[in-house]
Amino acid sequence: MSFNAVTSSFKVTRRRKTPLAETLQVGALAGFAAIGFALIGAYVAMDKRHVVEDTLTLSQIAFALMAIAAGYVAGRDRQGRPSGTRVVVHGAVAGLTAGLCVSALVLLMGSVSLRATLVAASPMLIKALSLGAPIGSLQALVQLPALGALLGVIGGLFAAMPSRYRRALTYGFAFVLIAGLFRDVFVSVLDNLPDLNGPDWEVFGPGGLNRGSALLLLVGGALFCLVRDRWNAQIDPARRARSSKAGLALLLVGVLVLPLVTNDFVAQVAMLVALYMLMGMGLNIELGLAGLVDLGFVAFFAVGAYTVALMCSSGPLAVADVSFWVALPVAVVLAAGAGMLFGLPVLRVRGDYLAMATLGLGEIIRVLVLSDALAPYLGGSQGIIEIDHPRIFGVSLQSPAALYYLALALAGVVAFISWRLQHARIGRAWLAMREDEDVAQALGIDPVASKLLAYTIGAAFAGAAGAVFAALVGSVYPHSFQLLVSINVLAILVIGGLGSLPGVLVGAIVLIGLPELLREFGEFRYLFYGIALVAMMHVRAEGLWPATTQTQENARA
Amino acid sequence: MNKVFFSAATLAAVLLAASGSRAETLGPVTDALGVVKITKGQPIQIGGYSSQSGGDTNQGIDELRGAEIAIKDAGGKVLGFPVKLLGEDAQCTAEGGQTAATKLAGNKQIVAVLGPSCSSGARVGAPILWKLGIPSVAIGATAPALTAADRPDGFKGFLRVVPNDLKSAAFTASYAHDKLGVKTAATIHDGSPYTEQLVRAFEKDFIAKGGTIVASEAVSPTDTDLRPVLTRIATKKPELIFTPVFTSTVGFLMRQKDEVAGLAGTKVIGGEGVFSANVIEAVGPKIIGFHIVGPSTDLFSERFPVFVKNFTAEYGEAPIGGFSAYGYDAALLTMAAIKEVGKTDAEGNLYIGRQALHDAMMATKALPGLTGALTCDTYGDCGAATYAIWEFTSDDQSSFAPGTNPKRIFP
Amino acid sequence: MSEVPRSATEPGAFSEWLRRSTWVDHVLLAIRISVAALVLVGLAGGLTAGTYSAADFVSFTMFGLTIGSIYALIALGYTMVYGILRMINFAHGDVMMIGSFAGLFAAGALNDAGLLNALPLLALPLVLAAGMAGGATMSLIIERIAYRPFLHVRSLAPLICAIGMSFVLQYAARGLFGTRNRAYPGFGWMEGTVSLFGLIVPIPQIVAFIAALIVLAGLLALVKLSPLGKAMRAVAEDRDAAALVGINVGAVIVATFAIGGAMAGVAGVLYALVFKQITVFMGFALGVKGFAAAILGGIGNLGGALLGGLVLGLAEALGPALVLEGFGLPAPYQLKDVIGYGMLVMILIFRPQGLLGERLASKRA
Repeated sequence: MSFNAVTSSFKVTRRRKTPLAETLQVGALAGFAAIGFALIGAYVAMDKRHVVEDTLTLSQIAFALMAIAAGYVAGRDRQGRPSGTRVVVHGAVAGLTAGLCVSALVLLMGSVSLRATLVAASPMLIKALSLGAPIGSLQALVQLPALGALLGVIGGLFAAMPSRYRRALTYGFAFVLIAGLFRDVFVSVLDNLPDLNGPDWEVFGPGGLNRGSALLLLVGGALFCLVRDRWNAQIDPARRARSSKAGLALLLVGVLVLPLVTNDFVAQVAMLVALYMLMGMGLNIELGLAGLVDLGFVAFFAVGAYTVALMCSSGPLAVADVSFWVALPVAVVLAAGAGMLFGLPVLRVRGDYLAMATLGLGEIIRVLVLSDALAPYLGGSQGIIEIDHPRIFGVSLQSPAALYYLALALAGVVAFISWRLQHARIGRAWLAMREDEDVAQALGIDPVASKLLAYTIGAAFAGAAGAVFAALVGSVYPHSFQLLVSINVLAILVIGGLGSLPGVLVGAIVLIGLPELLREFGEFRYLFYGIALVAMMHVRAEGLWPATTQTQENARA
Repeated sequence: MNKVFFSAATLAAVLLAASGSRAETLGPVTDALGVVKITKGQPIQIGGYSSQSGGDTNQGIDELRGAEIAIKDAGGKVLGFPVKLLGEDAQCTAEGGQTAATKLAGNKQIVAVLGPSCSSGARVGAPILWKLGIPSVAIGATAPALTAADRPDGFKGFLRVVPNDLKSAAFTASYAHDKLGVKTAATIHDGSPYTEQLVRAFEKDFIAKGGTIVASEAVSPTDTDLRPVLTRIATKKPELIFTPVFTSTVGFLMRQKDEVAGLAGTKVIGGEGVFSANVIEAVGPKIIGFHIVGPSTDLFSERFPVFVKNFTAEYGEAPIGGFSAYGYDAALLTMAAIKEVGKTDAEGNLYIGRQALHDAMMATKALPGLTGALTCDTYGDCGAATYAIWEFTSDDQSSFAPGTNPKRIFP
Repeated sequence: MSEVPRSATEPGAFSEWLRRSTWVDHVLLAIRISVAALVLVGLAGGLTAGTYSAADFVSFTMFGLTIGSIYALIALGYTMVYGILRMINFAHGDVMMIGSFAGLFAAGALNDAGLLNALPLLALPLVLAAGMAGGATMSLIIERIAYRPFLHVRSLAPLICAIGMSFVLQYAARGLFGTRNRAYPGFGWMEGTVSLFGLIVPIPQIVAFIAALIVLAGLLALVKLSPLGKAMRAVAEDRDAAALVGINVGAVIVATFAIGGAMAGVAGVLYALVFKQITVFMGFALGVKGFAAAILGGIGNLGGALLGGLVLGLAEALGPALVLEGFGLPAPYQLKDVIGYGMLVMILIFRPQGLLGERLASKRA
């Protein structure tokens, strides 16, 4: 099935352009990206969010980054190290082009009403893009290209800088951005520090970082990077390995005490991350190991959730009112059973066909659960409410923190099982099948039986996640079991790295944790997903934390 | 390993349970639930949560936009302090409401919260907020249980400006039976908790009045060809179809109704979810004669067109869902209460007592809002709660103006 | 996988089957029998319930053919791309949405220019052309981003990229165009109805049906008669061999995407003309249905796409009345999608080669 030998003959060959044309192209690309960003409404929405209080908003940073990136690319793509003046000129031209594009947009919006077609081309956008200058004035139109050129030069200089300082600056900037963006998390930590009662007002304003602390963080981050680099260069590899082990231990401790040092919201987000990790590890067995594309994964999640709902609710639809700990194994077993029942017929089809077949199955389950026909048993659209919280030693696990530990414990157990399975005979059989089914069959692996096992185990893990979900929310509604959940889980695996257990954690943090922390931009959540998926496939198709030890080493270095 | 987890879990539970009652005195204010201090020059922060992603986005986004318009109409300030609305995405799910509410609850400067859009989110979200003394004013959560007399303690801090399903259903049933003299009716819902509950309540009231429900159907919001289900309804020959579904389904339904033999003379009554100019565009010429249930006050007829104008100027499109007016009212009610209880000290800092704010909100009386005069009852129902039947008179969407198109025809 | 024999005419055939079959075959047989029994019981119940008159069933058939011809047009795009690349273009439904919006804006521009009323007969081709151009452009962008970089490797990357593109298209379109339902203009002559065999049928439905047939005929002619079609068939058969004999495989793939996207654009415009309103989220569900139709008819088979679309449309329109009614379920039309998706699953399980059959059995899928 390898086309390499022949297909390379129709590879697209890029025509060589003059450096100036390339620079203009880069600038125009950045400009179009900025225009797109503005016209989908992201600029206005993110302009409300201050990263540095009263100084820099999130959308200004996004625009600035686009111009800097344009300057960086324009300054870098030369043969050999260019002279300083060329970096400056090309950076400036790229930034200027990008700025001109945005200015043209402002001018166009000011003179023609585009709003019948493009709803985000609003007066608010014009106002925001005028950056405080009078709307429609010459200053408003000129300052954007000027700023663009300036930022382009910065980008160009950035490219010409020694990599040591470039890294340091990147670190410092990242520190500021992270602190400003996730203000709430840091404020909650500061709130919990008894000695520094109420210093948050000085570090953080009501929206983002205060100016002084932003500057401090920028310098601090840069220094941190420089010191660390020097430190790393000096010590020998053995000590470094030990220190990385210490780092891992620190991470573990961090995970364990997270909800204690932050607030309920962070605990809640961590809990959702753990929940999606549970599901991710289930799909990892199916997709990552056995190569089965499953877009109906949410069905098993629903089976688990509804089982616990029916068994642990004091509502009228409950069939029993037993402890969560009794219902949990039942939910897992029922989900596994459902997996087996579904898996058997569909597993003979392959690849994209399987994706569609499972998608169909998942939707069938959702429609059935929602239907009036089954409403007398499953509650229809009104769902099942008043699900009891799990109790342990007489303590009701109610707070997000307590439920976080529950999900974390389950995730730990599931991770352990996954890890054992992966390195057992069956794990190798799955891998063999993923690589080439025909060869695997020739080697004596029963494809249907091993696929079925993968599907069943994956479903069981999803069932466990569903059980925790029902206990967490206290009620289940059919609307929680959309196709989007399946796609979320799939995306987690892709972003994290197919077949990689730590990858599931990384993927869940990136795709569940980050959007949850930035919930105010929920409007753009799925756009971010889409871009992340596409970009990931192009830039790092193996995932953020790939599976094989070899690439893992490379990725760490 | 597990021992560590469990002891940590227990520890966490104990720690979090320890934060019990928190009577507090700060500046000139003493309050049983705590005081929020707003330093001079800083904004008063109001939270908001609604469906901004997932299936019901246009409704949720418009609701918070409605609230923003209310803040803008008030000059952006209360007691000289700028008001800032922090909107969060609650999707239309229980877990979304839970996460968004937990996030808002983590911000100790938030005095009150507007939202959510969906009852499932309110059921989980409102108690989380109230545990920290933050009252919430729902915009679209209409489930009767949320403001029932036997609601759990966690809902003591829950108010809503949108009337609950029972009131609107009872009004529609009596209009259909008593005014129109209709004896047989059919219902259609789209599988959302809101439409299903409303339809069930209508069926109950209609039957109680002596009418007959001949068909009780359901569609899915993504359906585009409703003629088969309409054919099924036509075989039962109802005189009236009650269907509080949303814009696109109403569009398909009204356009296709006349293609089905036997439904030409059947009246259709829609819900207030489609009280918007967009439904005119979606339905086209068939909109003329389409009835919907909507708020009925002189205030509404007078102020809504102005609101739509301001909204369009600000956001580029007119409100799509019918619930943006409730977002406006929720913000209005909250700001009025803040105005009442906020106290400043000598340095010009503002202090707001949480219990006092909640009490002031619950004590709202005859506050002139967008949907009518808002008056809260003991259980937190603040909606104007008087209804009317509105009839669309023109298929030109630019003519949308409550009073002329649609025209109030009853009472 | 061994094919289960359908008839047991020879005396030894059954025992032979027993000997050769595995437990998986037995379970599958059990599933087949129970599905068949369920459908038969439902059918019997539905027919004896007598809820509907014969005229109602004729109406149902007509509704089914209308939506079915839309499904068929979407399915044509899927089938072409799949036939050549063996990959699902997951974003195909959203390409259709883009085509539909392109048509809407073209109609708006025509209306502003006063041409919509002046030249009503010319308006339809112009709007269709705009839809085709929009769909083809978008399809080419998707090919460039999601497929071309991954042609050399057999991986999940194109599928994942296409899923990502689907999200990007939906939510970017939402940000750009807003979420409101857009009404589609009609063109004077298309507003009316005609009487066909005693049935009142709106003209757009007839237009959609005929357009589906014309498009299919055009595509067939293209594939069977033109040099490009010959190259396409060669690439579909064996990409390596095609490249060896001097066919520009890359260009053929690009052409296929362009044609598939144009088909989606036509589907988008015709859909909008029949159902009169569009939103940015309409593509996904229709895309899945279109894919089901493509598989139903036999993927890679153009005639099969048409047949599959019509069969799926009919099943959705008639299924609740015929089968679900028989079980006395409340609100049977809520379960319409169960029938649609159920058919997709059943066909994948029992006859992956589709109704009309195609080279792609489960082995190559």
